[in-house]
Amino acid sequence: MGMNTAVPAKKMKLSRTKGSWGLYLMILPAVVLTTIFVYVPMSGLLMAFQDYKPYLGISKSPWVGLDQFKFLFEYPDSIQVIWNTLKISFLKLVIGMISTLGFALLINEVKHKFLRTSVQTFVFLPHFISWVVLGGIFIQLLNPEYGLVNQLLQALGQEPVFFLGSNHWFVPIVLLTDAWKEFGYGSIIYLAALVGINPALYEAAQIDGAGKLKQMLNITLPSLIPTICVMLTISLGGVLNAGFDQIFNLYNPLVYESGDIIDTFVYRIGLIGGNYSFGTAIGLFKSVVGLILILVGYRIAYKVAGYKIF
Amino acid sequence: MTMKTRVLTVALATVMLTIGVLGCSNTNNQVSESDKINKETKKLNIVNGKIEPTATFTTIRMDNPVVKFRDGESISDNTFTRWVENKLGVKIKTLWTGGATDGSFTTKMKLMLSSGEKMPDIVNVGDPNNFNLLMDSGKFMDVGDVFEKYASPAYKAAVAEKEDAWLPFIRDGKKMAIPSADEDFGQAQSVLWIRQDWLDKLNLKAPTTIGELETVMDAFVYQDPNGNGIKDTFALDFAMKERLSGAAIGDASWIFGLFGAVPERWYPGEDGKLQYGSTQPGVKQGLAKLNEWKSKGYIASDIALHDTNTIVQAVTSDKVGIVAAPAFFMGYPGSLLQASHPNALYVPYPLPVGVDGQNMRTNLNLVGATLINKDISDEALQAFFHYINSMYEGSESGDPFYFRGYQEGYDYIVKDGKIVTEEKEIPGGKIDTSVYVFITSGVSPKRNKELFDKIANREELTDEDRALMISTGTNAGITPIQRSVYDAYLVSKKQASANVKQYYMGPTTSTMSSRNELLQKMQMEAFTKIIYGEAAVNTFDQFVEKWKSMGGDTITSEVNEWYDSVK
Repeated sequence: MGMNTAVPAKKMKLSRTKGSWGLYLMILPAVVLTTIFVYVPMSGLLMAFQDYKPYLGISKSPWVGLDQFKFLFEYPDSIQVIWNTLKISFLKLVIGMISTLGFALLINEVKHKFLRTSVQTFVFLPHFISWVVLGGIFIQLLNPEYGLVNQLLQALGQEPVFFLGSNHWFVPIVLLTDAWKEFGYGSIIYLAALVGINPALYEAAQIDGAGKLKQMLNITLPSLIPTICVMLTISLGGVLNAGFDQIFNLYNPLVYESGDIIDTFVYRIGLIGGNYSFGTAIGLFKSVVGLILILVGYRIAYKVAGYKIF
Repeated sequence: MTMKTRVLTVALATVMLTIGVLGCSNTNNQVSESDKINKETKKLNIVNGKIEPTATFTTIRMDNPVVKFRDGESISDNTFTRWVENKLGVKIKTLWTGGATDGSFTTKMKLMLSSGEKMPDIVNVGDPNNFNLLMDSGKFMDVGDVFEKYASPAYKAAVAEKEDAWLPFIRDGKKMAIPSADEDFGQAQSVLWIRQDWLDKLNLKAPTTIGELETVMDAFVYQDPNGNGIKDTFALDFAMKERLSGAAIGDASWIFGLFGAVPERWYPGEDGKLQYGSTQPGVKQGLAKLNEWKSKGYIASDIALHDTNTIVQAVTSDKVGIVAAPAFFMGYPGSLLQASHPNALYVPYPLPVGVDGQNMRTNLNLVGATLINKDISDEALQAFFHYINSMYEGSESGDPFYFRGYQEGYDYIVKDGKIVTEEKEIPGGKIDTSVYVFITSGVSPKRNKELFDKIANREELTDEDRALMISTGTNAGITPIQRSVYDAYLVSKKQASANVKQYYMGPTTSTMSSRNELLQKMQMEAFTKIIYGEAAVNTFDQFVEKWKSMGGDTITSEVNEWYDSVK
């Protein structure tokens, strides 16, 4: 990961030698596949600037310029929907980062091997359960009448709360359940990075008299910075994806105000008219915003941490 | 026996061929319907009901995962398609098949359209999105003339029996598709399914008025009807997560219907113009009532989250007393509930009488369409009509054995001249061939309705009735779950006047595609807040004003423009 500087010079040399043709040949299948399955389908993005009709195809559908984008931004609810999306997804990013990193650091300190692996396995599991199923489970758990959470609240003498029907509670519930579902799986990458830290550093620190906490702050965390940068930058690209499956299964008209996001909005609009062009326009819009954020994140990572991802 | 059948077949073919052509009775005399109408088109040579040589038309068909096949057959090649070819001289050539449930049929069809490939001669689809797409593609013909010219009287009569059948298919005064002649013979979207075991346990009778309904609901919530000692039941469940009308299970339209309105539907008002149900005063009263029921605890406090899936969960976990649902309710999810609670039983009841004796509820518009390629060859066109006319005339013939050619050995076997339908008697297993049939088995809606009435009222069935049951795949209502379907049918039939269909059947207008989502979201937000008491009932009036100004008025005039043009 760290030895980038020497590589370009070597590469240059290699490309001048005849032997490199073999390498090019080896990369050829990947280039062909990427072209066919990634770049060629991108021509479909043209639909975002058309009023696409399936029976006319891309070549014959009428061009409408930026009308689809205008529609998105002039739509009365757009501001609310985009704001909700950004809010939910940024908060998810932050909470996700803290929970995965925190868990990785803590589990790394557990020395009992069986305990550690079994805890890891258990916290991975929720990642593999679909939101359709989890949605049902959380709706039951949070049910105002017989849900477990509200029964506990009532036992403590509190009034029951309709969590999923309250604009005050909906976003926290979304964040919490998402963090619960994903922290185990998300921590894998940090655990892998932790294994890669040179044990000599810890030995040296121990000799210097550093305790567990000091070691964590001064060795573990700094060693993880590159990984954190990569993870943050990559997740910035998806910042307009606030999690369709989750929101769709948990939201309802009472919390449109705080919980309606771009994807659920597109879903409802799409149901009515089967509007391909509008769907494509939204997709393109999300990708462009994602790309800009990745580039910005990349710059910041370089400036702040002095670390080049690509 | 075989000789007898053959004679019968020939005789029937004669009848079939000569229906509508009075005075022509000789089998060898080739019928010349098309001759009469258009001298230029070359009529096909039809001998004994069979086109010779065989004529072909192409189509595309859906693969349905629940359809069973035997002996390596498929939807494009099976006992039925072979029968059509051998008996009618028509080859139904299936260009391709696509999955009905995974959407691959639709995807393939769209790809076919966009790639400019030649479309099949005949396409039969049931999804409005699909037939609208096909009608607008410009690749299919105005079917008005050819239907007039080639359809047999029986086929025409069957289509004519269906009210407003052509409306969804008229574009600029042209008939762009032939409507399917199947109708839901008065089965409403919803009857009230009430837990009979709960009623019995609490010594209650089924409600007939709003007051009695409230008494029953109160008992269903506060008298522990499921007897587990915990207050964990709610009286009424309905779907309102996205819309109020037309959920597959848990339709809520009837609640507003008690006050004389059906939300989210266009139907004629007093002035004869189409009006939008959601903005009618009855909805306001309905919302006030729901708010009252909510505060009394009759409906779940997380009702805003309830959709068909949530309702199924609640029903199967023995928690719900009353649900409005279609006739299949005891089959699904009722049978799931009975699996864990054998004594649980929902029984269908009519809607309680509403304010001023009024009752309304939404009803399904069953639509299907047959489109004809505008470049179809004359031969293929005649072959198609020969096929479908023959199906109608076969069903009308009164001969139980008319369709024997493809049904015997699959739906039944014939033992001593009698039809035996028992599964174990049929070698290789029983197969319902009605699902192999292309477009229709030729039973008119009226005839179908009569058959349904007979079964529902437990009347004696004739051989002809039994033959129709086989060719339409209708069951005899023997198991309790099958029986409950007929019971629900009878219940809903008595209140058929309450059924309100969607009167607007035109294309999506531009205002609709840009405003419908917004208006619907606004409606659900406003209504849900009223039901939850987060907003006063009077905010309904503000909603109506906003609805009108944000596009509702424009849509109303567009809808009425269409209505005036087809009325």
